[in-house]
Amino acid sequence: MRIRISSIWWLVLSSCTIQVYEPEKMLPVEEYSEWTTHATYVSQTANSVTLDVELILSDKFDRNNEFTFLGSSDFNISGSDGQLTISDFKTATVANAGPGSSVILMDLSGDYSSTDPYNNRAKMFHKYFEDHNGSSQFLTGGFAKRGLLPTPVYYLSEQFQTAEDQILLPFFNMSVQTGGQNNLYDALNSGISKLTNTTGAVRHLIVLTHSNDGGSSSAASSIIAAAKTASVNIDIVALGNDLNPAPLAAIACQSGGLFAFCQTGEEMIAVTGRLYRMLYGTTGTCQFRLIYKPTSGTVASGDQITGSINVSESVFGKSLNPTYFSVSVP
Amino acid sequence: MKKLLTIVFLTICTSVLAQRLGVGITLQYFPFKQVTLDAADIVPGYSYAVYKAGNNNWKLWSAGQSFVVGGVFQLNRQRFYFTAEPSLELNTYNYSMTYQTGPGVGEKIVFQVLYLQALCPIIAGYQFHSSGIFRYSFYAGVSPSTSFHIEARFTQNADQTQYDRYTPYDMNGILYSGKPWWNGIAGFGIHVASIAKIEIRYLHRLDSPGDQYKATFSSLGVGLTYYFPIKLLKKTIYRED
Repeated sequence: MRIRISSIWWLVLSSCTIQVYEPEKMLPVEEYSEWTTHATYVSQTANSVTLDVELILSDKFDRNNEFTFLGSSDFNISGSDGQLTISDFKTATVANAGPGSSVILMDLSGDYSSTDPYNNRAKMFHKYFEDHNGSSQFLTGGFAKRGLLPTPVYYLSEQFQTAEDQILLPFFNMSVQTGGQNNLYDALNSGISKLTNTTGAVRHLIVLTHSNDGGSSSAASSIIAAAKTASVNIDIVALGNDLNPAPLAAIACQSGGLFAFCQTGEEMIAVTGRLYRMLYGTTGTCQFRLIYKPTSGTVASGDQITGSINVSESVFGKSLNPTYFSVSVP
Repeated sequence: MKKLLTIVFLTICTSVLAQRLGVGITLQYFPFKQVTLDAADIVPGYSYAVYKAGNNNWKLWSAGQSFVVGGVFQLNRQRFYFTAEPSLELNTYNYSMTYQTGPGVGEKIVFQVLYLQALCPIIAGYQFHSSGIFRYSFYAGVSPSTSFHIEARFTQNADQTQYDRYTPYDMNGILYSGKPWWNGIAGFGIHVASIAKIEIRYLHRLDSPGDQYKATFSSLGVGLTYYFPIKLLKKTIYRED
């Protein structure tokens, strides 16, 4: 069995190399995609481990998110240094963690002329606000240092909102007030403070950024610690090639959040379009019970089982991204 | 009682039939148009975009054009005339909005709605002056209209990649809808003997396509009506000898 020493993987794609941190926490950026939401240890014997893995497919395939037409034979599953077999498979609709609070922050530094010249970012967060549909509360703002708006974060309202009505037009106006330097870390600190003591089962700090931090007074380590203390998941959507995704991925994953690295505006649209479903929504899932058998040796406590799942190309007539999972043996 | 009603009915019919009944065709062209929206920011119900509106001025051609061809049935009584014009109209409306993309800058999107519509203006006119073979009149009326084909698109010279970012159907329920509507009509006509009428006509849509935003549509154009030289109970009417 392969024990994963470093949690940093490198994926070599056809056209570029992307540094990926904890691939099971990476949001796929393709419009048609699949991703793992849960992977949990169930039990073990001397030479096998039982796992439960849950998978979501993008609703491009099924508007009702049911996917009841899928069977276990429609999936290809592979494990690192071992064999994974499906012992049970079903589709089921599951509710996410329930209503919660989210702070949505948009990077307003510099300009978006190369990454999002047509301001699709505002449209996609509009969708996010609509998806909320009153079930969760949210607070929105933008950040930049020495930009056009106050620092560290310009919030559109003092209080959390449950409906988009009051903030939608200010949000669109804010989204184009770009200029100044990136102060991401200071903005994250501010967002965590806003989420502290909020009600609801889940707290998400959602950030769209397109550049590297340009001189915040806060440090990444303190942000992660503060997020853990306040039980805030930091979900980061990084846009474009002008930033270093590794520290952003580290903040997101270590806080328990998700990370998406979108190199194009289209990828950003795909990710933000399903963000609410990922964080709060009720959705259809594919649920697997897997049996893992190592190639050699026995199962030991602390072993890390990693694998990937992929829907067969013949099912939808197109190739989907593989989705990854990782489970520690207790 | 029956006799009385019959007498009244025949009296009315006789008085109407004693006047001129003109039958003809009309061609109209409206190159001046105005489209207004009563909000500065438009949030369409079918879109995640938010548009900046405000380009509400009268325009020659760039706000759309329309062509009307129809029949004319006109009753004359002294200085007054009453006309029904069952017509077909090819009608376009253009309205430009902006989607903000940066500080103080935005992308201009020109939404165009094309109607093929049927309408039947019913107007009453008053001939207030005559000179030689010409008679001059003002008229007003209403026109029920219904569309049998609606096409929403961007103007033909628009950037074709705009279809990737916006959809012309964003304006459904704002700049157009499938429900019938009424126009108000007013105009000025110059009658040439009993042969033709040249007119300047103003149309104003009396209701808005949707409830979310109040949109108004106005048109100004010219028309030419030709009356067929047929004798339909001809009787001399106001200054026509």
